[in-house]
Amino acid sequence: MKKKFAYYDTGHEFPEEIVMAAGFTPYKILGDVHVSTDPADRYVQNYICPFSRSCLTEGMAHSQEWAGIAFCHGCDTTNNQYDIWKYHVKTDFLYWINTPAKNDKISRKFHSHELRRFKEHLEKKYDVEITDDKLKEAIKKSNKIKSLMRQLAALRSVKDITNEEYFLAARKCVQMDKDELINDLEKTFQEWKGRPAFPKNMVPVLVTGSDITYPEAMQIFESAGLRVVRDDLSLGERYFAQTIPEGGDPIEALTIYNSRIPQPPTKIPFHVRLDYLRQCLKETKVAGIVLQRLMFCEPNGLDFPFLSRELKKDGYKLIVIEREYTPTIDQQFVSRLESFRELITQ
Amino acid sequence: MIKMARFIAKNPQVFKEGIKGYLNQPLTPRMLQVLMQYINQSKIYKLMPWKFRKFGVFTAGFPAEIPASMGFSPGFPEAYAALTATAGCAVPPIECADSLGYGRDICTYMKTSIGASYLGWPEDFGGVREADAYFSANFVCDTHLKWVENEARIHGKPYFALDYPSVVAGEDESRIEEYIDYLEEQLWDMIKFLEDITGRKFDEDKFLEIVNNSYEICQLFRQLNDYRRRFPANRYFEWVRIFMLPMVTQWNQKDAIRFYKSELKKAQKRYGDKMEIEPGREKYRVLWEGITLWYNVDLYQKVLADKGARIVFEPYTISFAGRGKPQKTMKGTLRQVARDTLIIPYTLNLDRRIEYFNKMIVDYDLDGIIMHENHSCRPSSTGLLDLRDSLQKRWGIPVLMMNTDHCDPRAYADGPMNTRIDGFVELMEEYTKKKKH
Repeated sequence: MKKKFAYYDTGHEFPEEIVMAAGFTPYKILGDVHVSTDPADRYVQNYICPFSRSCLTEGMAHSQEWAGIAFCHGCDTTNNQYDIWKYHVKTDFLYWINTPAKNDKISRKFHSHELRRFKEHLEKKYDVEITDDKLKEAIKKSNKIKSLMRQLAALRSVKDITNEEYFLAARKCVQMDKDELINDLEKTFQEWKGRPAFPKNMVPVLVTGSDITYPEAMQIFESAGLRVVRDDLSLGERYFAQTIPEGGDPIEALTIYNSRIPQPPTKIPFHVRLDYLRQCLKETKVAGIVLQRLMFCEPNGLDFPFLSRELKKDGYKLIVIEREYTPTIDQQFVSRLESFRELITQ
Repeated sequence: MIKMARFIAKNPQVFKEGIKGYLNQPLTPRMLQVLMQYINQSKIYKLMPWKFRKFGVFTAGFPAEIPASMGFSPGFPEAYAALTATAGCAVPPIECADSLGYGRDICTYMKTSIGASYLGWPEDFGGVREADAYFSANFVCDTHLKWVENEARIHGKPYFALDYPSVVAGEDESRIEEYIDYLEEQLWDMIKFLEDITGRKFDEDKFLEIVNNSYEICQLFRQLNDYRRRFPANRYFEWVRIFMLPMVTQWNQKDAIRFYKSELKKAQKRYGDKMEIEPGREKYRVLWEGITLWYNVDLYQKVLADKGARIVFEPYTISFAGRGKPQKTMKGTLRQVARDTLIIPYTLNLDRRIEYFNKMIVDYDLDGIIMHENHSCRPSSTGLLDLRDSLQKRWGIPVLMMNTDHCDPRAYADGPMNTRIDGFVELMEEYTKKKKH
């Protein structure tokens, strides 16, 4: 079994394919909502993103199981925590990739440079050669996964697929061995195809906002009778909406791919994210939109006033809601979503 | 004037409180004049000679020298927000921003500015009028990018963003050069953007002159700041935090140079060239890490001062005084500008931050450090606990962690904080005794 190479990425910026071509299984650090963040709270204040503290806790406990760790430039919180990881997480290889906030010719050139530099450091550290052929093979594999996920995700609005099931499939994509994953997703696809039709008692919604990283958060929507049929989350459509170009220089292909994925809230300009949401809403009929934000998540806090205003102007019904980082099915949260459900089904 | 009259008519109580708040500051008449000149300049920029015809909105620390050389008079919403909080009037705009959908965790500089602008308040009370173009950079925080982009979008005006890579712990000079390459390309791109929106060719001579002025302002400010190494220090934080404004805002470079030169002359006359430490009025010399509590000048000039503790150094104010000399070539100067803004004391990575503080403890003969765990500024808060641990391990120096907010007075509770300050002062008492031995 291939050794895992862990990465910490608040969006979907990490070039998994480079790590795959180096012979590792990319593993996205997602923390564990069931484990207390006390070890991380020793170094990070409690008014800072609880998800990031959970990831640090996981890093402190499990880093020895990973060949190395790479960070991608994400939000202010995670950027500054690189240093804290450097001080407190034991690893032979901790690497920083500066992914740009802008998306123009100059920033893409810089991003391409950053990816090449990362590749060179991996080659040097692990004494491996990451050839273009290996990279192209990894890209093909990734595209196969993305294609399968697109097919699975499309079933959400026509079949009885629970929010949790979709979430678990999306989570596997960033943590499981890729060959096993392809088999698993193919089996899942066959199984989901045979599912009953979309249940009449559920209401289809689009979910955007902070990344959902544990199944209980998805169960809350289920409890309120809401089915997430579209999203722009990193453990979701952001991961598979786009295909990586398979021709030409593979690093350039990864750079182009990254510039086309649904934009995370850490990037500018605003309208790109809005455009993607509008596209989703055009493609799939939903009854409402849920803009959910994990407590202390600044990037989404900055996007929401703009997004909600524009989507309301378009005539959509939406709710803006803040959630805590807890596996408890928060009944207050459920009640608010139930009220929203009432509102959008009237 | 009309805007101000309307504001007073609608908010007589806020105006009254604001005047009271300003009068509570340790301002000299000259300082007040300097402040009013800056604020008024942004109000009447359209009536000023051709070179100031345009008004640009910038985020703190942005290399405003480049747009300034194309005729953009710089306005810094953070400066207006800081003054509003100083006047004790930030809560209504913050609440207004909350009602617009900005969560409680969002930077209160931003919320003060957005709320005050929305309420139609004048610049003296945080509002920002429509600019001809908007500029932001993310070397302090990502909030800057989104905040100003949104303002540009609201007003339908051109916007340019500079994307700064993060210099994380452990990165060497060659890595920094790579980042400077990226920034240099963006600066050339900004010049092209400015040429496009103004229809004028970039004036290199003007640019180099402005960079040189910037350098001179920063040099003067640093020289003045160095006098605070004396014992007694010549200036404390409650004064410097306002005193830094002409340097930060680049409001009118020639007047700023004149102002700082006259202040330096006064300091030289009073203290001579002597920098040695002498016994004086401050019992405990304290460093403040983070943004000041704009609304709470009494914390510095009464609560701490009454116990003999005075803030003699703060990385925040000096962070904007790092502009270097113009180089022989345009390229060299742009790279210099990129470097000067890429690494500043306020945003140092943990390795550099620890090293910097170790030096300041010696240079300023510090007895204690107050670290502001700022709810509004997570970039600055992150890493503080490791910084504290490292400094305490090496020096045993007392550190007070102050958990509050820089603009929102509701995050500060006098009673519990005073108790903690008492404990901190006791620790400094012990520490100074040990230091003597």
